[in-house]
Amino acid sequence: MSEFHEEGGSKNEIPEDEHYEEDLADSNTFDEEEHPDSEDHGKAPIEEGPEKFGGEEEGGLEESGTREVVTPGQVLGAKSKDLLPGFGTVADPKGNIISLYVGFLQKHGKYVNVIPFKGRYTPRVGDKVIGKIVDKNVVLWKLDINAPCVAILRAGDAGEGDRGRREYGGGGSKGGSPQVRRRFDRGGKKEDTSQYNVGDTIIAKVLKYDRTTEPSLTTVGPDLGPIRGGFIMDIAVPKIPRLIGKAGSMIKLLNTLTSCKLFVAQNGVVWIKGRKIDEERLLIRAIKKIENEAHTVGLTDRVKEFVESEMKKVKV
Amino acid sequence: MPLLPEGHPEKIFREDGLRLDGRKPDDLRDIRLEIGVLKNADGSAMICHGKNRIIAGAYGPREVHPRHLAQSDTGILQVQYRMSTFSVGERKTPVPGRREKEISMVVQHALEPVLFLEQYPNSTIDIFIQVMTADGGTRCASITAAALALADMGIPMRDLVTGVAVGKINNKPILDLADYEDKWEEGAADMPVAVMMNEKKITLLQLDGQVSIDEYEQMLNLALKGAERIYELQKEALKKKYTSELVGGR
Repeated sequence: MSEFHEEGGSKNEIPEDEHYEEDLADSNTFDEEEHPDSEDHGKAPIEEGPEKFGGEEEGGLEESGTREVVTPGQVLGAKSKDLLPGFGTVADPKGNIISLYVGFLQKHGKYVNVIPFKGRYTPRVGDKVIGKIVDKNVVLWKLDINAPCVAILRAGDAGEGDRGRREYGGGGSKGGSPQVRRRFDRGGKKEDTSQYNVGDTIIAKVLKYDRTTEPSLTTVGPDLGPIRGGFIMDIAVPKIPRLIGKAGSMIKLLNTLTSCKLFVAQNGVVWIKGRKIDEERLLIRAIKKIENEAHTVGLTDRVKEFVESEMKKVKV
Repeated sequence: MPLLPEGHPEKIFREDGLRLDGRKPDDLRDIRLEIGVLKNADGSAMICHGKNRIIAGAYGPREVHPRHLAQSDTGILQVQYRMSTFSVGERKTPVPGRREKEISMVVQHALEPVLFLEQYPNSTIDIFIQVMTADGGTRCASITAAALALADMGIPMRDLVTGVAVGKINNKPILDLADYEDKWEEGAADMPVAVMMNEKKITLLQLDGQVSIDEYEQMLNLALKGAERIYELQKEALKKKYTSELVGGR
């Protein structure tokens, strides 16, 4: 199948692209007090990053100049030096570029892309995901992350459960000879699966994935760890970039307008936690609005208007 | 008394040469396609083809149950075709019969070529087809609906698959047989065809009856002509569904 190509892109550029989306996710950091630098970490690459469907608020769709809906198998043109199959398209044996999805046709430089309307999450290394533990044994947990298969979280990759903090040499066995300590004290990591239980929901990052094996996760890192309280909601995976907005603009907007905190995971799961239930409910409505109107222009302004007018009602 | 009048008409063509429902030999029945009819399915579609009412729901890619069916090198497509007890004149037993198992398999084989199953090792894509009312040509209508359900699910597909039945009655090739035409026995043959229209590749071809090579070619051309028209309807239905969502969003 085809890969995503950027302007003048080659396969080597694809990792950069992945970074870009990962950084988008980073910019919606949850615990700002704890990780003040994560905001900056997210910003820098975004400004240099290539324009992508998700990042574009007004510009991208206008630039491509099309809102044409295409269907699977539709011929989008003949493959040539100036027209190459990009994301969601493939060249057939006759040399025609055909669409693989029902979606929007988008031209990006030399590449023809089709942005699907719906789809299941495919894990990518570095993605932050929200998953529910469905099974556990002595050495690992299995998580449902909306992917075609369950994801594995090994006890050694689970950190201490203390969000974002990893202590080396602390905790664990005290006293004893250095040899004994080295053997049993794995840098503060717990080597059993007592921290989480079946049914817990956690934020994790994809460590490894190729499609022949189950994805491996880790909870060591900023933002990662168990979720307590708040709401979880699902939205369509292709609409995630729109909810994040250009350089995380939509998330920032929602975070500033309401007192809620919002975490958007790449696998189509959103975690909302606020102080007032009314505000949480408003945020859920706002997110549904974004999902339903994801293909439209000027969405940020409309969402802003919507949330501002609704917030007045909440306060009264 | 059965709800639908059963029985065999004495003649199969009217005196003016048209079929009993007023169609020309190369006319299709009325077809209406609807996308996204099942809220909880990943993708779904309904087809109203003549009196046929068929709903298809697609799920996945997801884990395979039972696990021993999973293949480590490729994903699998599982299709379940079921007829409702009330879908035919005489009550149909709810136990899946030989015919339903055959059609499930045939639909699965007709749809597999458009999917990139190798992308989903150890996973399955499930399609459930429920026939609410049957009126001849359900396997073809099922394929048409199931292809739309897959497209609605957002899974990469090379093309849509279009199913259409052709046959002959009194040695005359006709397109899109209705139930009573299917049951006619004089000089009759029945040939369900499924095509990937873009590349004109045939993914299903069954033949029940005896035909000469000339007749076979005539019938196949007729089927391709009919499939072309259904393919347009399929594309239109998909575009309409998502364009209307778009307009609603504004």
